[in-house]
Amino acid sequence: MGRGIPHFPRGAKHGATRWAYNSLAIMLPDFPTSKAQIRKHILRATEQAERAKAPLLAKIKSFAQHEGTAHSYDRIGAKAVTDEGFEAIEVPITIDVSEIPDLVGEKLAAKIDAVADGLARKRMEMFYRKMNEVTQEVGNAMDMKGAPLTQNAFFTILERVDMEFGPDNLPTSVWHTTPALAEVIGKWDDDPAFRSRYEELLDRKRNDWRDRESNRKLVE
Amino acid sequence: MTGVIERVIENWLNSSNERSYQIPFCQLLAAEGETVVYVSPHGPFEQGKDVITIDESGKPRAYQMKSGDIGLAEWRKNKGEINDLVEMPINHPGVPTSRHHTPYLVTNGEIKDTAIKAINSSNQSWRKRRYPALRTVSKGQLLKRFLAVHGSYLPKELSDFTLFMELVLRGGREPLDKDQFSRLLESILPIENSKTLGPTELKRAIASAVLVAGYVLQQAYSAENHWAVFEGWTMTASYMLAAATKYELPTAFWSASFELCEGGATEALSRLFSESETREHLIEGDGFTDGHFYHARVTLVVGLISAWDLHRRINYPTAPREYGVRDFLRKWLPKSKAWGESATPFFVMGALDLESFGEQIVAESFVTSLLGFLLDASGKRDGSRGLPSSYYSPESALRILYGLDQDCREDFIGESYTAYPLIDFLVRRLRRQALRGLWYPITGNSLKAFYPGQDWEWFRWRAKAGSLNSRFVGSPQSWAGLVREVEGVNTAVLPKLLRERPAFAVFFVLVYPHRFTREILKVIEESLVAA
Repeated sequence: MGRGIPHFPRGAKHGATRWAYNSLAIMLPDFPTSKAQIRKHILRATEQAERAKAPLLAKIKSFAQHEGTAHSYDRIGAKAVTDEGFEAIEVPITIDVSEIPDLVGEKLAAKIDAVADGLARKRMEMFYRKMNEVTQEVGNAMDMKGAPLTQNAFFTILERVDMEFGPDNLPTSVWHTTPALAEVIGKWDDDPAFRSRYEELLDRKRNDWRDRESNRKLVE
Repeated sequence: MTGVIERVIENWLNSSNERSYQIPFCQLLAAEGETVVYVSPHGPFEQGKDVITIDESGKPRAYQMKSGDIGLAEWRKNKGEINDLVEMPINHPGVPTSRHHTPYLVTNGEIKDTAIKAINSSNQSWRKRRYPALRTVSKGQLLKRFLAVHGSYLPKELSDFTLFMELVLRGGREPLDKDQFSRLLESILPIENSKTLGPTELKRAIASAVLVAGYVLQQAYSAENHWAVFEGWTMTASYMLAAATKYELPTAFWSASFELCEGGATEALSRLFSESETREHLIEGDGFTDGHFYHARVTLVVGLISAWDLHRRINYPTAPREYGVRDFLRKWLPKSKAWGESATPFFVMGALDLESFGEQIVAESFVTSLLGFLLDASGKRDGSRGLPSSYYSPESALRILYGLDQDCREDFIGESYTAYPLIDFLVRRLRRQALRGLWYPITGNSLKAFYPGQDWEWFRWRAKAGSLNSRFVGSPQSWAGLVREVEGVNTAVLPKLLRERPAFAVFFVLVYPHRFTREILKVIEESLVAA
């Protein structure tokens, strides 16, 4: 019964996070089942908050791997890969003992928010790192070496990627840029020459996509 | 802890019927050195003998098993069967005919004084007529012998013992909790043990696994929950193959225990068929809520009965077919529905069995419809999450579907674990047109399969090492290339003990639907072709 019960060693200052676990059969009244249920709710709330803070990641398809640690998968335009092991994302959380008695409601929500914030940031960092690695590997990366993005460079990037189109014939791709870059690209939208070149590219990409779609078949 | 274990075993013995302690008793005999040659499925040809063994000196023994106390009334009631047990010779190819057997009457209750007197008097009469005397085994002796055989392998750690008790006390009508049951088996069979174990220790651990499984499944036996009994024995047998593979054990060390478990699973399905065959409907339990589970039950029963029939067909190809199974499948297969991808092996077993009765077109149509259904569910872009993967049991998948499980955050859109085996099934039957119609949605799915890192981990409920492979099919894909690819599916990736046991593989994929890969299906189909 005594395992897992927080216990302050004699002389330890209350307020420190140094907990020891008593192995003696001493415990105060506790409510482990209900606490486990609340923990589940907290976990769910953390994940929801994390998704809200990283909406881009929330849009990306994810799946659970139920056993094993390796994953091999195909890639378009590059060789298949095998990833060994998972990368852990950890966000340390410090709860002062003095905080515990009132760690409910808004105070608990603030803690959850802080954890979600840390998780979202770390996952986004991992996302950028991975995107950088894979785009370099397949040759889709373009380094402007500090120079501003030009329309030519923009179209070179677009030429390299496959686009998909929805029932409205518009691209379904999501473009992720910095706010500054988004503003630059937004301004180009008013330029008729840019617009026309973009429409022409979209037409070609649409045809390419239709070709790919029509290739999704079993042939002789 | 010993006293508690003793009480647990005593309680189990008290509440068992002759069927539910039959396999543990056989395991007890095997562990004591006897060779079990026959275990009765309680059919009409028992001749009073439920279990037949050969003892260490080569002499045959025959056991008749009863449950409860035996007084004079019970003795008189069973006298005819006991006369058969003592007087009729054993007629079994594995038993030498030159030596008369030693007959045993076994009960998990007490044999009362009045019955003992009657037995003594009958023994005098048998001796005069040159028959051997009847020997008895009652509760006290059984308890002592079970405790002695367990040695140090019953769960002793508090956490393992708690798990054991949770499983023992679980309601018999519930599905088997395979997650917990596998953890219990892993606590008994030292499959993760780093120290080198001797074959004798492993043999004892295997024997203990059978006995513990017997205790755990007792409630399911009492409730006639044949599905849970089937799953329990199949899982126990699978873990034996895990231990045998990992430690490269000689077959003689584990085959008797394995056969007992496989026999237990087979008998459970035989009983399920007997029960289902006569029923006008497959409704069970609370009718008001049963609509939520009814079609899943139909699928389960259809798959299980098909597996029983296929298992028999692979093992005894010349045995006469059970046409009742065909009629049952004709009636119920069209009413089955998939709850998730873990339903696929059940459908496929139904289709394979129907095909073995000569109804190829119907069987192939079922598989085509199932593949279409899976692709349709995984291709939805309406915000739904698709069909739960093979890792979700019928109940957990239905709980997600009905919103009873809020914790599952997995999204199953755009992926499939069981589309590949279904494609292979249709390619092997040259169903090109059917596949042509489905190829567009097939190309939109990531086709997944998990391959355990080590052979022995195939038999484990969840492997620690291994790789999840995600593949896209060709677009375009040539038919000739597809046929070549399917022909080239390499079954050598499967562990040898599974490849060599295609009949058991039929059971295995129903209990471990996440191991239903292209390779296993190929092994099963090849064995059926050979049969």
